[in-house]
Amino acid sequence: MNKIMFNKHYTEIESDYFANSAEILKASGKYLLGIVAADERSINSKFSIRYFFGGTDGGGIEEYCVKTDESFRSISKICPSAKMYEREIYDLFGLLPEGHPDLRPLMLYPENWDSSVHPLRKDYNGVIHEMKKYGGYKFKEVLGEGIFNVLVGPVHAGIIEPGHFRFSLAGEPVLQLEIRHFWKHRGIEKLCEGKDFNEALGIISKISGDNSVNISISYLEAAESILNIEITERAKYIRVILAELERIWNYVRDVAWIFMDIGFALPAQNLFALQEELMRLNKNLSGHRFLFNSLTLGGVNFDMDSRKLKEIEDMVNKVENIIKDSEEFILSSSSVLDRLEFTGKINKKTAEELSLCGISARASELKRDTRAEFPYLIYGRLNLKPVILDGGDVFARTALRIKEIYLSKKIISDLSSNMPEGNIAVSCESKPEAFGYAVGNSETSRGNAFFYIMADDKGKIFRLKYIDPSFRIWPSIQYGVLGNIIADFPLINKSLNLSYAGNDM
Amino acid sequence: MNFNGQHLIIGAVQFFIIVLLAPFFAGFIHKLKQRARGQKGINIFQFYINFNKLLKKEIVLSKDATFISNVAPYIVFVTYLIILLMLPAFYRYSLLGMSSDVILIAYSLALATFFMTLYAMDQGSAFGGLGAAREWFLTVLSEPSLIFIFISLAIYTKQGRITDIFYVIQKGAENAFLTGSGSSAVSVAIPFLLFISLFIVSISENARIPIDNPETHLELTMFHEANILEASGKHLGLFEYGSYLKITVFLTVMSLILFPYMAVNLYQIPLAFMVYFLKMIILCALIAGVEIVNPKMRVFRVPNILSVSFILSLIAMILSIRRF
Repeated sequence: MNKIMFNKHYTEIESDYFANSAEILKASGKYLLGIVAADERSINSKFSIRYFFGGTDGGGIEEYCVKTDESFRSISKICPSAKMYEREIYDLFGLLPEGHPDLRPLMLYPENWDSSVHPLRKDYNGVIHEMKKYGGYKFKEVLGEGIFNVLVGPVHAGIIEPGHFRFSLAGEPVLQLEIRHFWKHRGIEKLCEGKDFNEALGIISKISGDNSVNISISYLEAAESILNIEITERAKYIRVILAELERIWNYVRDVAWIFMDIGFALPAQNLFALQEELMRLNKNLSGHRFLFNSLTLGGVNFDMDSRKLKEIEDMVNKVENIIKDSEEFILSSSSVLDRLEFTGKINKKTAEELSLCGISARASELKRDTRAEFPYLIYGRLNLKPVILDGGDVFARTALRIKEIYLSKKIISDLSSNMPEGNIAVSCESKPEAFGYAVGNSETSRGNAFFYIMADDKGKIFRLKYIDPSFRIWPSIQYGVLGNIIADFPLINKSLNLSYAGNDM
Repeated sequence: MNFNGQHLIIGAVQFFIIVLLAPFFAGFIHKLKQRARGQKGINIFQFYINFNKLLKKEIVLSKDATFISNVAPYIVFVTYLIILLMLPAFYRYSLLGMSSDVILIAYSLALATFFMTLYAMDQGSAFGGLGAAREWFLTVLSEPSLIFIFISLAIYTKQGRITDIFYVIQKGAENAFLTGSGSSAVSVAIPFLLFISLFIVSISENARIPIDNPETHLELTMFHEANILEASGKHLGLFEYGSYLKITVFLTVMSLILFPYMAVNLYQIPLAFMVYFLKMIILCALIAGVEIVNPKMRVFRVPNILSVSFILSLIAMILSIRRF
């Protein structure tokens, strides 16, 4: 089996020994990027479980591969962030993580699904079972005098995706929050199997609409490295500019919603208007407000002439000015600070244990920014210094977004003035090596987007796994709300602004 | 007070006009806020349309609901109607002016809140209970201020009925103005203190920013709305209309404390009505202004601002007693 990975180190290991290795890895400052299982019985008659570890020191990604028939040792007790992946693998592959503390079904609801169905196994025949109650789901219970539960969702007020939040309260303070997600599992991983790389891009770019470009970049990093495509310098520049534009409009919207959730509609509306202008710019550039279909295998779909670059530069300058006003406004307004500071604090230790990424990690003092840790496209040459804040609270996350808007603006300005000449796309006729695989990384506005792709012997996708930053960060809210009152939950939730769609593929 | 047919008729007309205007005032505040934010804003008569729509919709009740749920919306609505029946606005007498005792008004407000929270709990959802607890948290904290405001008014004017109280204030102001003798510092200070104190209480009682956010869809942050989250159809319509009536009650009292001008005969009514309407518009703008420039505060900071209101009303009461 061939491995085409970038800057990476591969070890095949026995499941029982891996638990020890995980401990050593953790002690050396590495953290879990993701666990990817695959049904490789047609290749070597085993399932494989790949653990990807990364570190902030620039050591690249380390891969540990465990082969198994039916079970593997759980590392959840060592790396709590492994918990969700292992539950997912138990659901979708039916491989038992031995010693896992919580084996309740994650995605295939026992209320609807027979527990013997494992859709990601290659021999799953696609028959949809009769929708009936096969079992129940047991929530954690909090007992005591005067303690009650408030259940929110899965259907929410407003236009929000489904998620069930179960608060155990003693009056206003939250004693425990339990989240149940995965209400609208789309089966994207299974859907992509057997598709060619171009076809899959169309699906991938719509996993989570507001991060279409950055998620596509992560996918293309993996796909292009399997296909041995080296894209032109100009295409790289355009990809980075689009990625940073997407980041900016996401952050502008996020900051606007923070204002909205503290009931301060005046500054929020100002930023919503700015978001609208950014989306119109997107439409001018790409023909789509969310920049869908901007990227293609081997390059990008449209060029940026000097007029378009000028338009972009004017816009980001405008954004910088308006955001500067907002920043001043936040810092000078005690009533705003009072709402944001010390609310929803995620401790550094918690962030580490849960392997957080993106804004949530950087606001809790963790130096995690894919653009600097595992540089892709031209980020390696930009010498980015990740912005780190230490509060871990809503204020830190808001301030961080504002600071990153400045950073993105600077990147765009630098690049648009030094745009190299060249084609925007190269042809991609090459066939991938049979069962070659690769991983791709990118930094979305929420954090690290991680792709694992393996090709089959016909040049199609054999196994595709996407790990969204939201999947990694969602559990952290359960810790962030502790010590807060329930009335502040919407604000804490909004300060992380996680995706339901990306989380639930 | 001699009670004749003219007072009855004008009192009734006054009542109907205010009841009909209530959704307009609420809509006006909303529109003003939206325009200030650069939004196009709702139709200024939107709340009439909403009420009409809600009346036609079916009522959905929780399976745990008892008869309380069926009567509470009516009790809440009628209670506010009765308060408005007692209140003068632009005419010196009101229909129930004879029994418009200030303590009765204060506790009628509490009665409406009581039934609204009963409704919330009767639906059997855990969040209704939390909403009811939050509502009482506010009401209990603002009740002392409200009582002190009304009692200081009573002591200040040596009257028990709200119609007489405002008439005495009006007379006092007229005398001071006509004779040119001016008013003492104390008699100016008391209405101002009471006005500010009542303004804070109104913001808290009427679920306004910075204490509550009437526009939010985030159920977990709600105070007032948390109570009527389960209400639907006509019940919701009555609760909504009740909340318009409630803010009208508070605004009307505020308008009379600071600048009482009520007609005493038929000919003064047009001018008095215009003055009343203008005062209400200004007060609506004031409420909207406060809502625009403030974010919602943390729940447990609310006692701070209500204690300011309480201290102000306490000072006003001490001043009224000294003057007495």
